[in-house]
Amino acid sequence: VNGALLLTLAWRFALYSLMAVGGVNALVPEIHRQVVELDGWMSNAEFSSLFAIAQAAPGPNMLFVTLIGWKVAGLPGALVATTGMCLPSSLLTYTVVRLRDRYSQSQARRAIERGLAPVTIGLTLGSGWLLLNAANAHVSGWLLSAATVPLALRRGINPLWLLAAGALIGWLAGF
Amino acid sequence: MVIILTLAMLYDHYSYSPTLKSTLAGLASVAAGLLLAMGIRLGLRLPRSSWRYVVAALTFVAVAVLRLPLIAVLAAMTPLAVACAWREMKAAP
Repeated sequence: VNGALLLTLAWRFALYSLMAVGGVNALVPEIHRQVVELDGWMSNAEFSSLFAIAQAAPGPNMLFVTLIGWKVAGLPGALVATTGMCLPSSLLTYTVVRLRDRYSQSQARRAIERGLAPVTIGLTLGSGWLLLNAANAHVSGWLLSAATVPLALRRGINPLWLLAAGALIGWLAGF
Repeated sequence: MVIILTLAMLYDHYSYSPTLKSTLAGLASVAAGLLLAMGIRLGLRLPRSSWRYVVAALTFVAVAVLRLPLIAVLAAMTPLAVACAWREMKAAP
């Protein structure tokens, strides 16, 4: 395994983890920009498949990062990317939580939280839009995505059922 | 982690199968729809105010349309958004 590649992965995901305002989902466009557009490490279809597998599998969203690392550099890549993603942000979270306790009534803290909320929403919508384009090569895919949105917005439908239905439709219709 | 890596290996092993490809394509279309829906749901929960719409829209365009690096987008949007929130809190605490 290429050591330089592993170092690159570790460094990048360590950086990403510090930028993960609103979780891994907010990082999708940045990761896509790097691994698909700039480095050409995988195709759009592979990228969106990995995201989908991470969504369908039990466990945290973080698994997407594990899969990207694995795709790029095998098992060592998976370990390096996951560690890179966890380590700096948990240190940061620890510091932030301590500061937050100290300044729990501070207005600055509330301004930061309120200000970041719409940024997170813009990022999440951007991730969704990017994945729609990466995942859907044909009209049939767009239709399936379009059917998903209103169903997902209704309460009481487990997203896993929607994912299972999508897999079944893809299989039967030969997407 | 073990489950996901097992899945990943299976995926690698069968990735040339057209059946698996179309199954995953269907899965991916739904996963993309789910993520968009999550963004919409979060957006609907936000207090209605113009600066919030502007901040969310600018962030979306910068990231999804202009494809700017995330670090640049955050460096520009975070101060702007926090300043707007600050002003709002000063005006109506």
